[in-house]
Amino acid sequence: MQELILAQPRGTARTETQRELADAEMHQQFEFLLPECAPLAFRVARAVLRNDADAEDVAQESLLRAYRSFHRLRDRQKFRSWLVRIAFRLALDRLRSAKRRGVREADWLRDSARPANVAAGTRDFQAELDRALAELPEKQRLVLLLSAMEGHSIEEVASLVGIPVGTVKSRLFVAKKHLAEKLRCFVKTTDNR
Amino acid sequence: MLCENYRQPLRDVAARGDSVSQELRSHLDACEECRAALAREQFLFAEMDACLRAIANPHVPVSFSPRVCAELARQPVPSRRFPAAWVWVPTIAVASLAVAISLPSLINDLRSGDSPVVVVKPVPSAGAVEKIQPATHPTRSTSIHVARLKSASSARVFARAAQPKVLVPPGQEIALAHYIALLRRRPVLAQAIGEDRNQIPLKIVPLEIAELSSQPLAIEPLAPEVGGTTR
Repeated sequence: MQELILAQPRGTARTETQRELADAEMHQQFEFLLPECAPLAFRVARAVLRNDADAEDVAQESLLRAYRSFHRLRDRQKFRSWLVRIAFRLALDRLRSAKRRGVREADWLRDSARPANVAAGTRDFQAELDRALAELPEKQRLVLLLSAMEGHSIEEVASLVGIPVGTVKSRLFVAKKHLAEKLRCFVKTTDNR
Repeated sequence: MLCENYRQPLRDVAARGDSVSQELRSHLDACEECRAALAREQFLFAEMDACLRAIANPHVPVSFSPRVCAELARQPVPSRRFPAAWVWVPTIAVASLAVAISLPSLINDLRSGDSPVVVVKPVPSAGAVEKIQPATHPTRSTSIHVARLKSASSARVFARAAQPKVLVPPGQEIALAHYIALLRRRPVLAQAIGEDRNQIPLKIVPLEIAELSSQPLAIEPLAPEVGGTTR
């Protein structure tokens, strides 16, 4: 006995419409997150690269990559940490390729790209801090920079990086001690004056 | 306690930004040099934090967000249905290449599987090799214990029903296995032996069974006991 099945010509069209709706919704969600997360990506990239133009490129590339893979991110609450990791990784890659090309990393210190609100320390102090930062392991550097960003508590840094709070604290402590070892001579000089 | 012993705890306090412990506080109250050292450390970390904040909070260019939005608008909507062609086309190409590479070896394996494989069966009675019977009738030899001997050159044993089986008397299985292995190693020799065998006419000697003679049983009377039995 033959079994007859009714064909549904509208089924595929309906599915297609649903997919388009889902894509549009996803696009809206991304655009909603963009004003908050775009500066974050830029700051992470800028903190690593110390150059506005490179940081803009890297941040834009990070956002585009995040957008292309946004549908694969199940937990949208983790978008910020995901984006931070993408931006940090891309910035490090850019920095390494720049180093390979022989571009000096500390060139920006001699430029006028330095933020105007830096009132603390001398130019040498900041140059030494920059060198000491570059010597830090990547994990410590990321935690240090994220914790220095405005509005980031230890708990938020932990959630951004995806590590426990205690690990954030220990990384911060070790990183700061490393920087202090490099910069202590400047404070003594200041004190002796 | 000496001041040097307090230096490291002082640095740790400044690095963590913690409050000073009671013991350290009592020492600081008494030691001006350590107070100055702590102040230096705190100043150092404050300077570092200020510089780090300046590095980590740069002014975001005004043109950045519009630039990103414009770039996003140019991007196609990411599809969640199928991977892009650049994903699956190379995958299919690599899979096809792998099949093409492994196909000759597969064919060779299949061909080698067609070569005759001999399963040696020991026969309980002593004597010469009686017959070569095809294994298409497995019911004939079900009562015979089948011992498979692997050849020394090949680890594979094919026990296919369509392949011939040889009945071998006990004690000659190993010799026959060696002989088969030799023939496998030297196909030219095996071919020559096969051609010779085709030229020699086979003779089947009929079995000779001697006539049996039967004799009637003779019952002899028992001899009487001498002296009887003692109780």
